[in-house]
Amino acid sequence: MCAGCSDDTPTSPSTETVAPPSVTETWEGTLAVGGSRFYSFSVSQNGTVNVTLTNLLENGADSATQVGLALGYPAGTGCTANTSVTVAAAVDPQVTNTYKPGVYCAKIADAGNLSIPAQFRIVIAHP
Amino acid sequence: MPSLIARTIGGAAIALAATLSIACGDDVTLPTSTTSTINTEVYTGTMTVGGSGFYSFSVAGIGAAAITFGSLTNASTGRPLDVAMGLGFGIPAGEGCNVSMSATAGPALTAQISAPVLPGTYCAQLSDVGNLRVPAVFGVRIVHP
Repeated sequence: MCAGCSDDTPTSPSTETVAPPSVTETWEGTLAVGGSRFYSFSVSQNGTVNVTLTNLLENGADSATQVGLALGYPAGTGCTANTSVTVAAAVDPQVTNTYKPGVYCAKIADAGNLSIPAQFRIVIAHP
Repeated sequence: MPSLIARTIGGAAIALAATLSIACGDDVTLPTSTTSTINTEVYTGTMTVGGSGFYSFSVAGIGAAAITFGSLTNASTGRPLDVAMGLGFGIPAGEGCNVSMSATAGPALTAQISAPVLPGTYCAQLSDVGNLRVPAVFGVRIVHP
């Protein structure tokens, strides 16, 4: 009925804009042997989220030890990962994903390689 | 007086006309039906003296989130504790829960916090405000759309 009396021309579905990161949050802490921690952040618009483990220190010195790094959403008492990798500290983002507006989390975990607690710095860039 | 058939046809014609009017109109807003599902989640754990913890939950609809600090027992003996604790509601942020509503209350059967919510992610926080003398097992019930 409606199509019969409508003049509207069908339109193509719009493509959602993917915004680049515009906000940077720096998360620092100590990762215990066998431990894990997570950090929540809010994404204001559809766009790219980058997570970079920039520094990992053991005994005060730069470490090449690999740890688990993940991106996901807060649920219950933890962070449920969408994307996860096992990486050493680096300059470029190790985890990236595209998210709609909402609350998400980054997580770091000992992948079984730590023998002493390690200090970390993670940079989270998001829209 | 019109016959039953005539009245039926007349009624149908009016209904059809109304339907066509809605179908062809430009400014008609059709009523939306909302089906709200109520979810219940239980946040349990052991609270240390001076400790704090939070629980994140996802809300799918519009409504109210009711948070009930329902139980607290001595972690060693299992005996009930009537101790006022800090209860909060907010949004996960950083390594915690950014609380926007809070209450200090002992365990109870009715919700101590009721907060309006839209779809999104929220958190309930429980913390010792200085009254806890021993580690305690707690239970917090969260009911939300």
